[in-house]
Amino acid sequence: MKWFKKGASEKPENLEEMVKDLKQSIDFVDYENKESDQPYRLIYFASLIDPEQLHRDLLPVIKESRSKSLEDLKGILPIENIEISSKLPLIQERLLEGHVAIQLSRGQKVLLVNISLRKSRDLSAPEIEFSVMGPKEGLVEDLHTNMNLLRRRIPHPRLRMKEITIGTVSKTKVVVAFIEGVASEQNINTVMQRLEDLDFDIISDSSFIGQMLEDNSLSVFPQMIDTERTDRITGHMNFGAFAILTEGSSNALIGPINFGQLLVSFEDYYLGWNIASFFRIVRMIAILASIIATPLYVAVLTYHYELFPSKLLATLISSRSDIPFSPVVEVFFLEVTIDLLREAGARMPTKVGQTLGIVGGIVIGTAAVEASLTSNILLILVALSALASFTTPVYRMTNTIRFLRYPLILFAQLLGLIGVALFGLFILTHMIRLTSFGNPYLAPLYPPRIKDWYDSFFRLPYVMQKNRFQFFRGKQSKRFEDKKKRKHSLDFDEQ
Amino acid sequence: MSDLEQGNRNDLLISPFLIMFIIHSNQVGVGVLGFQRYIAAYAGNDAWIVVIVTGLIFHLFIWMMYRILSDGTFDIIDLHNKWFGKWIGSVFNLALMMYLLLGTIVILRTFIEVIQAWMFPELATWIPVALYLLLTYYVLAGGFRTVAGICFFGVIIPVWLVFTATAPIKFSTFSNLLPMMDHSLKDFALGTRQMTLSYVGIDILLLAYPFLKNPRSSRIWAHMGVLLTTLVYTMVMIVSLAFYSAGQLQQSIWSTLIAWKVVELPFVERFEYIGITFWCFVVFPNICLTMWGASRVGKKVLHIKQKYFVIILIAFVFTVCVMVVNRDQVDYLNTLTSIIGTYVYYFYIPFIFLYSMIWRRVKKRI
Amino acid sequence: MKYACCLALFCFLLTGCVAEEIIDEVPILFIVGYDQGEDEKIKGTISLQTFDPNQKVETRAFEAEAHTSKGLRNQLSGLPKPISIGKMAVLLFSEDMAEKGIIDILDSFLRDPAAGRLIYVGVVEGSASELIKNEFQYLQGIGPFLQNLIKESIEYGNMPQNNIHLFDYKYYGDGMDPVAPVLRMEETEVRITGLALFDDDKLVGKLNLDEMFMFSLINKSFSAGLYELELPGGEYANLQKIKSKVNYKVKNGNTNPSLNISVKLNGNVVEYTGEKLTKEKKKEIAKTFEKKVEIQGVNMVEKFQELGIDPLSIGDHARSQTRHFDFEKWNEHYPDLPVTIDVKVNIGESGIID
Repeated sequence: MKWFKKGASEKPENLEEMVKDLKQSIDFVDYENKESDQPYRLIYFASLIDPEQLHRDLLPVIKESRSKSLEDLKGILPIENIEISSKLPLIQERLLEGHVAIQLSRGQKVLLVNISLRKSRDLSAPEIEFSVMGPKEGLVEDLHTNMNLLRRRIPHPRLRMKEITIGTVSKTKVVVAFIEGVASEQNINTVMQRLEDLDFDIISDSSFIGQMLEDNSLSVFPQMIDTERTDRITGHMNFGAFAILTEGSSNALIGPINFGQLLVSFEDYYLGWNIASFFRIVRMIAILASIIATPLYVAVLTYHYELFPSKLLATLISSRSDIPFSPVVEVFFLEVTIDLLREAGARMPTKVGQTLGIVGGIVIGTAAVEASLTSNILLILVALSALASFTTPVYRMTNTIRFLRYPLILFAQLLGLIGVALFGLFILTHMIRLTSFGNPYLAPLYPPRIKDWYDSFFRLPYVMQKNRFQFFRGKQSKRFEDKKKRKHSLDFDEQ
Repeated sequence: MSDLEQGNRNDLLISPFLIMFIIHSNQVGVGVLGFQRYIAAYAGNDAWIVVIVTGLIFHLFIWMMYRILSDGTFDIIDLHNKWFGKWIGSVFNLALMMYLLLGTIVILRTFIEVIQAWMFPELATWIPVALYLLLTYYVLAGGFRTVAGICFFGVIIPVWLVFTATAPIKFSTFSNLLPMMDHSLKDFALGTRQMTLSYVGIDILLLAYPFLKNPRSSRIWAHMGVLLTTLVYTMVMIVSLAFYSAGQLQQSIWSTLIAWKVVELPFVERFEYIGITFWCFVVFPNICLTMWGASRVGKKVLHIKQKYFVIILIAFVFTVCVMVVNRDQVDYLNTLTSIIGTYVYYFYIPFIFLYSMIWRRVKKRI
Repeated sequence: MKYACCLALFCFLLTGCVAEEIIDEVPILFIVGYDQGEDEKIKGTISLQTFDPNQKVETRAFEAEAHTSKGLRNQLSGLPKPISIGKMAVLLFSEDMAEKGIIDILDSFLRDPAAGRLIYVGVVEGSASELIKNEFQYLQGIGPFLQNLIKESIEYGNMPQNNIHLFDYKYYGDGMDPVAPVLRMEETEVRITGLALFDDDKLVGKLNLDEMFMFSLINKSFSAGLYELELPGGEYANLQKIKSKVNYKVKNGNTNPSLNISVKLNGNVVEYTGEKLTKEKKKEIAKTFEKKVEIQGVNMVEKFQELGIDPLSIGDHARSQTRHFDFEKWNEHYPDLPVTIDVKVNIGESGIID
């Protein structure tokens, strides 16, 4: 990045030089009209401004005005956000943001008018975090639209949005949104500090920021949630988290989080508490099973066949009897196949991807069994664990789960069940040590905060969710006031 | 005095009730897998009473420890220095460190002996030792909160194994426990001495005390920790007494593991393999805690940063563990620990307790 | 990076540090039979099974002779890999083998951490080797079949609990002696024919199926399968779901012992060859049953006393009911210990029609 900074430091001495420099781009316009009654000069990037606004709002006013100075013109123009400046860096920055610079006579002073063109796709339903129930409103790539979506969901004066620009090349605008009083100041200070310290050239997506803000960048566990769902963002903000919106990214980052929240689908809040709790537990078991199923297969079949009862043993042996490979080779083969299918499916257009998944799954799987490359029991196991890994509601967590399996399989091959346990201890220790913006990752399990358990492994009814999570250490801990209880409960026949 | 006084103290502390897990996990180790026959050798079918009695004695020790630690937030290292002066205090502290290190070595090496005897006879000792010690370093590098976390999960994760105690009941004869109280006081005393080794480990309280928020309020939880241990040992003992005949129990080196052999679930048999696997989680907190304690002594007495001192300790433990090659040497280590443990608990702790009482009296008068 | 390097190095060093036992490559043993060989040697017979994808089981039998049971394993040449006893299900001993004592062989299984503790020990009338080598039409193979046979006759039939663990339990325990099922090979099948009685580890006697049922009733609280009872009038009644509640009372264990066994029985009549099952008839059935258990029970205990064995663990009951119990004195008293049995039978349901 040094070359770039060096180039940028060769600052133009005056406006003309800067214009000359910028003119090397084809979309840069430097138009001077000396013939009209009112001479004027326009400098702008044609690719950034809204021509309609220029012709409709700006030019007629300039032409008809008889103002002698820029200050007069500023008073007449029917557009907000006008400034007069002679500072070259500011002018250049504004030009690149889509302002047009107006001069009435040659000089250093320009009038900067914001007529930038905002092109953004229409709002659409979230594609990655699909849900059957709940609002189908997803973020888009435009920061303003996104802020608008959030503000509409929380029309509260305490919803703060702080802006910061990051990226020496991309000059990306980043907004940190939070509810003051609910979010802990400590967390906000931490994130603002880290954002200010960020030094990078181009921010293509919010995930760039996410990776650079993480407490432990070596970890495979996501320490922030990427989401495109507005309900999820506002829900977390109400718990006491903050959201980071990035210009040009349809994902927001939510932090701080804990591990449990990665396993929570926001749809859980739309179902009844008992059903939601049940599915949450099912999901947790599925995820655990997904990680350890194939490593256990390797460990048990390679070292501890005694664990199987005789009847199951016969089935297993006969399913493997023609296979020339050891279990670990077999497992690696199938796991890699599944990951290839997934990768291929992700690169293909949706419809082709679906076909690919089915074709790949059925054809390759069946063929592999027929050709005695893998046992059919393993095929079932791998397919199930792949399926289970996709029950994770947060996409980045899915990748983590798939990734964790490989070292586990390796350790299972090396030391059998002991290897699995030792690697499990390593993951456990890692997770105990991990923090998200300084908040323990495994909370509320460890350090144990039993008061926060109402919405962790299970979700209790809303009436029992009176307090916000202690985990976020916010000031305002009450979510709502207690209603007065009925004085005496009705008897059976009084209902 | 206490090095925790400076800096961001509150963030390093743990909630008082975690002391329950710390104490319990430091007490329960490899011993549970085979302590039964040593107790039954003296107390026979009354061995379970011995287990409970020893548990009660250890409640007394907890009480003594809280009296010893009662003023301020000092750990035993500070107190040694305060009461005995720098030189004698340092001798005490170094002895404490060696005792803790011996604990690490015994538990680690014995567990690996179990793995070698039950699962992988060809497994070279250095491999699991090295893996365990690397993990220990990783845990210690996370500070005491991580150590406490490992203790917490080291109790929570294997807790379901309690239910497997129901399986041997099918083959058990509970009349083995009768007639109750059929042994002399001497047998009980000898049994209690044998049982002490299994209960050893509450000494970590003397070092962990300043790391607790409101350490005074943690007393009840420390007792709960010992109570939990007593319950576990009593349950295991009763099941073993009913599952084995007296002569058979004396033959069985790893009684708990053998009893797991009769567990039959629809898709899993031969539960001892799963038991040993989960014992990896039970043993690990022991290693972490004792190493942590030893490195604390190193930091405060030898003034070497924990960062570096832990590496020295790990190298030491590694060397000793690899040098222990056969079962007899493992047994010797266990006997040695048992003897030293007896002295620590029945002489040293009462001595320190009395000394602290006298010291405080004298100081008050002055 | 440091961690990653360490990890990579480790993985490299770790490869192949323990011997693999891949499920389909290890010859898995389910059954071993021991016979008396020549020159004081033991003749061991094993049957190995190969599984093919169509789940058909093929059995091959091997034979070897050696002085110790581990020695047998070395003799079994012609096998691809060392055999594994992790799933051993049944150990069979021929009668002449069992009469000489079997604890040495059992000990090698009890000592081995790979072996389970739910292995059944059986005594074969005739040659164990022939039983294993005989090609029965059992789908699972002879080993798992026998395991199932014994398991089900324990759970649903009239056989008392037994396995290698309980054998060891009674062998090492004072005041008790082990038992084991007796098997006999018939032309097309294997049958359980009774219960073998051991003095420590030596076979000294047998009970037939009828006696085995009586044994189970008074041994421990127990729920049994089916029993056909002959009534005085030449009629027969079939009893099912028999539950026994047994209580042993030993008095004066150390000085002048006497034993009383009280048995409470509960059972249903499911078949009756007589005309009508009246209340009186039910009472009669109960009375007959009571008498039968009492007489046979006392006879059985007397038989045990003559043989000098204690499969009912009477000595252990005495120990649990006597303070400072003295086994030496007990062994003196045992042969002429006065025994009484009180039986109370309660006939419950008798089907859904009268």
